[in-house]
Amino acid sequence: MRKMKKFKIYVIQAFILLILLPGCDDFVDLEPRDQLSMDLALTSLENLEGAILSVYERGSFTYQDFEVCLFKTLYTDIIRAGACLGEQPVWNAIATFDGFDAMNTGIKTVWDGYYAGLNRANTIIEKIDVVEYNRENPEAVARRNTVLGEAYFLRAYFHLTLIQYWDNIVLADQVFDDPSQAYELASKADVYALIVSDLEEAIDLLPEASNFISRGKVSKGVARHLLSLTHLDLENWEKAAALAEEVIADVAYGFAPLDQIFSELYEDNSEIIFSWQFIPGGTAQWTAVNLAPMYDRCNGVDRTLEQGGRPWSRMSPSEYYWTLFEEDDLRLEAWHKRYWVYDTDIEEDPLPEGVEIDDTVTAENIDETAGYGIRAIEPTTTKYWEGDGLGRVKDDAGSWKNVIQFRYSEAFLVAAEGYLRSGTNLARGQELLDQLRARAGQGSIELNNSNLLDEQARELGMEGRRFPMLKRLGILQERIQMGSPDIGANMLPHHVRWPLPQNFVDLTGVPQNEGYE
Amino acid sequence: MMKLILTVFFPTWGKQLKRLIMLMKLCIIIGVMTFHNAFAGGQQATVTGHVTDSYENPLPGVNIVEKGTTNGAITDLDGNYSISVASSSSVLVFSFIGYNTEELQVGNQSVLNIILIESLEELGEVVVLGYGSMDRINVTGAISSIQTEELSKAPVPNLIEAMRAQVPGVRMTRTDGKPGEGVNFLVRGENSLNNSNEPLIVIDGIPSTGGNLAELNPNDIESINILKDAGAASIYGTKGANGVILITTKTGKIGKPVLNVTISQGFTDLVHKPDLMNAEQFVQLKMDAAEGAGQPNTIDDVLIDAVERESWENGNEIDWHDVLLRTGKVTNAGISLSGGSEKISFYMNGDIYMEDGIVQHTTYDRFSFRLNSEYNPYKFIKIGAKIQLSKTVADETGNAAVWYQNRSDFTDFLGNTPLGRMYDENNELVPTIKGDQFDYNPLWKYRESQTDRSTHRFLLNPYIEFTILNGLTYRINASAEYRSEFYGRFTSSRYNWSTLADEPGRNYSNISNNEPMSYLLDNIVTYTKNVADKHSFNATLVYGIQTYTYDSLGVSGEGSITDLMSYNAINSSEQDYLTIDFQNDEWSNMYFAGRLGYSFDRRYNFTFTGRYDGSSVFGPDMRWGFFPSAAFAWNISEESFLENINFINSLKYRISWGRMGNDRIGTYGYIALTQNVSYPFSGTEYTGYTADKLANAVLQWETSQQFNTGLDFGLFKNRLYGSIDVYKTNTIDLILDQQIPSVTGFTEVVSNIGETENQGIEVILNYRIFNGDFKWEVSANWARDRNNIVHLSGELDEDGNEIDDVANGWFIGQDVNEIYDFDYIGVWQLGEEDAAAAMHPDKVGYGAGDPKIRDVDGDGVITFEDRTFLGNPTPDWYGGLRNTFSYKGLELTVLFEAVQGVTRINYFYGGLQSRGNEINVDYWTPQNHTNEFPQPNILRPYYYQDAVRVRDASFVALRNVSLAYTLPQRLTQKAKISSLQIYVRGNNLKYFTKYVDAYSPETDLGRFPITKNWTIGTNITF
Repeated sequence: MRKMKKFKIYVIQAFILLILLPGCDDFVDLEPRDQLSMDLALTSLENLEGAILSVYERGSFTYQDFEVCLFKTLYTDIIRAGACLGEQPVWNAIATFDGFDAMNTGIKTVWDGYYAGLNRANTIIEKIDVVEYNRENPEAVARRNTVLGEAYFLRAYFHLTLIQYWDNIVLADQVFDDPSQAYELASKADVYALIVSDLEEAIDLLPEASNFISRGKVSKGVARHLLSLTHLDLENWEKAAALAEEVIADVAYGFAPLDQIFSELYEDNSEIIFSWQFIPGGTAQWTAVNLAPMYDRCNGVDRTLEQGGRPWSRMSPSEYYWTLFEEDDLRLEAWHKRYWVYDTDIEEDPLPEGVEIDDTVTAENIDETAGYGIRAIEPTTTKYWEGDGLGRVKDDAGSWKNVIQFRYSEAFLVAAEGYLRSGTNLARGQELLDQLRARAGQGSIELNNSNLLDEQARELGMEGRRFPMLKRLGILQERIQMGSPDIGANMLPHHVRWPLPQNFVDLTGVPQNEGYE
Repeated sequence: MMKLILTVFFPTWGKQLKRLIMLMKLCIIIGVMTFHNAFAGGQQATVTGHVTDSYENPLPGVNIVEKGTTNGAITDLDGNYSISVASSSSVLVFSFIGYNTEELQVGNQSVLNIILIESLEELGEVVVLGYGSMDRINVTGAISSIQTEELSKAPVPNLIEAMRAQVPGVRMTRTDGKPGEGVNFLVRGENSLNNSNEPLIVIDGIPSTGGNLAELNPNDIESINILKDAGAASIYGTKGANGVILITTKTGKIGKPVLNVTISQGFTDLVHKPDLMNAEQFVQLKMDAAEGAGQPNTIDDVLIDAVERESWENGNEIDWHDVLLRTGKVTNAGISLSGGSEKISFYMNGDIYMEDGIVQHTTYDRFSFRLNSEYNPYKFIKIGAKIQLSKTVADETGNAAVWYQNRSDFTDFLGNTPLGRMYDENNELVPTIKGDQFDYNPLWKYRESQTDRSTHRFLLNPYIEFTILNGLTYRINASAEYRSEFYGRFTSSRYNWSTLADEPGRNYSNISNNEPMSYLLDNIVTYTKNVADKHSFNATLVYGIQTYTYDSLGVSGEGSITDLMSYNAINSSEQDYLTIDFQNDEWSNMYFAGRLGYSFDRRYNFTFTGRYDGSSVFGPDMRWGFFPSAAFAWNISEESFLENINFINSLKYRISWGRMGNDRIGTYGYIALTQNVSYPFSGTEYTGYTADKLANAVLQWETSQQFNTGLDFGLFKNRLYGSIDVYKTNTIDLILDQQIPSVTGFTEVVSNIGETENQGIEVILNYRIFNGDFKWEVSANWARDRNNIVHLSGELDEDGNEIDDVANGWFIGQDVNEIYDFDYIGVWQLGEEDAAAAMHPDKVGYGAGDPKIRDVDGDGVITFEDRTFLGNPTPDWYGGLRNTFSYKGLELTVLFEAVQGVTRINYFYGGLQSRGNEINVDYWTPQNHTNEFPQPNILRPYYYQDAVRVRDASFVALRNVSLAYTLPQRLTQKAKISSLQIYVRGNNLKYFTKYVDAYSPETDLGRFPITKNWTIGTNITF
């Protein structure tokens, strides 16, 4: 009996011990093991140099989304819907204005993605002088300036794209971490003022382009070029021309052979001012497939990388585009594929009767079962195509070639336009235009509004540079209706700007762009 | 049977059990005596009589005792008795197990006939509560119980699904027919907008931390108790808000060992096959869709694929359901052994469940073993352990083999062209069913891939219980649970082969292992005390901790050296294509809980509970909270004023209030963490960090306050009994993924905003219609819960009304899942082109054949302002109806379920673009002026797709049918078998619904097809 009592006392003691054993708060105080907290992650210059990558990534991400990858190529007089665009409702609506509205998820993808980029850039701008680094060390200061300059440049890039497409946007000049605060649309003047000041800061802070091998790094040259484009929007013609001249004079840049400019084998050629970067085996971008017609649906035509690789045919150059070229324009041959040839004769893919290998596929001998009629072999641009230089195989839909944003030749057009519209130094403008044409084996044409528009299409067609030009000149709708009647038929006046995502309007209460309410 | 009922209801309560077993033994002895007609003579008066039940069936074996003496008698086979008593003032006590005991004074009568009323199991049982148990009569909360017998009638591997349609206020939906897949279930509807609304599941006192419940063997289950109101559930604090399901497993009973063997074989098939277009209808759609786009639309124009063309010309047509589906097979066998003595008891069960799914290359096999044992070395100590081991092995190749890697999706069944092919002229499989490389051949994908999933689960639940003083016990309940899930997926180098590609690619392997692990330690002190017969106290104190950790390691690779070794050759993948993914997670809880119960004279019962709860998923300042509740129950039938009201046999009124929490959100929502982002420069990749989300340091649990009131009753000699409950729950501080303006860099943030209200009523009624040789019992349950959003962000518009959250689809005063879209009212007809175009100025060429949308705001144009409320998936009401008929050894149970007033968007309806096959719908063409579906268009889906697809998904389902025959004992006893039952059971047999264009009205597009199941089996007890 006594034993039992003792035993009970032990039990009670054990119970009290168990209660006291773990400290309360400690037990429910856990730390994540597989992720760092942001407070720990952004404390040094190295961290910010890592963080700036996430801002670059926002610049390139639209190309990773197959529905919006070529949105900058759209909305011009020189592009039309491809034979297979109709299969993609979101993409189709963006590309052709058919059912183009505020609920379109593609629009939201771009908008949200660029604002995420702005937030990341602002985080770096606000953290740069908080993190620890040796402020006496010139090398550290230089690194600090580079990161900050990149952040300013990218902030300007996102703002400029947003304002060009939407006209009415919220200015992201700081980190917004209170979601409940009121947001208002900024005036266009305020947005452009920030873009200009950001780019001026960037020009001050960034190294010269000649410091880098990679054309993916932001430099003084890139910032000058973007600032010159911004001044075109602002009609500061002389400033635009002056900055473009600085780019033209930059030792880092120069004309490259026409057939090398867009080749995946020469991704850092001197003609490229800036490109979004991709890497073999990494995240794919989808530009290459979009501009290839369904050529391999023709009997006797095999799918090969030379002929275009895997075709999606989401868009193609408009008929008007082809009327702009003289037949001896060197760019025609270098940057386009204008016809296809028979190259196979197997049971699954037999040669049609009456033709032989290496014959050109023509409207007359095309096999009806291709299903796309003549559109299966329509000519197209090859600026986005990718050969096998980066390991792409013919059935890959994605590609890994960098996407060129700004090219040296654009500086010639910017300067020429600056001189033309400001009425100053027309001779220099004419000289620059002539130089550009000479490279393509073309003779001089008068520097005037119409010739400038045409030359821009010939030189920079499909590169995403045409929309901003037509937009700022106020001729977007008329040109699209003239050059791309299929799309033009759907285009209404309010389509010159994009709708704010409905979700954003619902959350902030800002007014929707006119026509999309 | 009596033994079973007794042991079921008194599993752990030693004293009562012993008492009852003695009583039972007595009954048996007396029963034997009946045949000898024992009679003790020499008394002064003789009373005779007849004892019947409330159905006027004679009751043999009723024990009759002259009160205060040992003088007794029992009724014979016809219910007659005869007893000599001392005087006319003697009182006779009639008692019989399963019936209320009655007392009668003899008086001057020599014949005393009496009707004994069946006692309600509902009121007599012991109810399992959180951290303890209680006699039903003292229970103050709304607790539903379901016994193993009812569960076993549904031939499903998942014990939760077996409860379906049987408990009022518990609603289950099966959205996926994959073998081994769980069901979605709710107790009292939805309170939370974004968080889990699934109830907490507690198995033998251990809150489950996840994992598939199908891994538990339903045959191991003794009972399930569902804590529905806050009075009962708030003892689970931050985890109680969605209700609590307490599962108790079987234990051994005192007596000689019982061996039980169950064997069954089942067959599964589609419960409903959607009506897809046949070849002719499909070709017609192609022509009509081309016409809709203004393109040439002869057969030659639209049937451009060579394969489709050839099939059409040769009259070949494929019904892909016939090709890809088969009759599934379910084999189940289990053997259990249980028994015990005063000192030791055990229950052991081994079980095998093997299912071949209706889709090829889908199997699910489960092997489970359980040992529950207890040892009582001294009177004051019990030591026990519950051990569960289970292993599942599943072949998921059939539902993972699709074009897009890792997309388990059955959309392709529906979209495959009926004019496709499977084999070439040499009878070899072809990779694509037609010329389009996306239209792969499922059989090819099956052959060229492999997907396996296997799990091991170990649950160890030891406990020690000390009786420290009389009425004071201390119990340590501990648990360790480890689960390991292996997933392996392989696609061969020919997997993505198409008719257009003629060279193999790289094969792909992915293996991963997930390991959740949880520990629990509860210290439970209970004290019970009765004072002066009338006052009864009980108190429970709990102090406990629970932790959960999760580790996941995954490897994927491409280009391994051989296709022959599946993912097992992953080691040899090309270096550049090997990736490793390591993730982990953890949470912990700590809590102090108490319950105080007081009962006066069995009439007035009070329960107070409180729980102080800490949860690691919230920020440092928001971790601890207090969750109290109070409940009262009045046993009105114990009051003297009801004594003479004969039709009321039992009556209890309950009322409760309490507060509960819901902490089931992702961990670390309160701090901004980093995600890696990589970006390359000229071919070299660099990696840096960026924030993964916007942090919310003041994130805390959702809090639900619930008020419940209810009535339990037994009427008309307890032939009619049931309960009714009414409740109202207000949930505040909802944890929402609040959509935020992307100017912040993010599109959503986790935050506590808003309030919902949920009101409901639940009724269960049981009626024993016949109870003779032929028995017929009806059990009906009915419930409705209506939720609505009371507050969201709290922001007001100019008129002072709170602003809706349109972006999230949340609206003040509406159901949390309200469908907010355009109201589709038909199709614009020929001649109405101008009106249509005027209403849709933003859509070029809008006209005849396009959807007609109701102009809600009446401004003449259709804008987003014209979106309106179209209904919601929360049913107006739901319930079940169970009929049990039995005649001698034969028992038939039929269970119907009804879910009414459900609105859903049916994504089985395609866009009518005619690229793939579609549900055969009545669509508009210039010749067919229907209002059902708009005109097809080959270039784009019809406008307002979701609005057009809104449908009423109400249904009545024939849920289960069970026909069982228990052989007469006189036959089986010769073979030393104490019971032998054979049965045929069906599950999910038929839906009666208008929502026919889907695998069931509950499923979503892309899920594994929903099946019905017929099973035959036998259950033998030795």
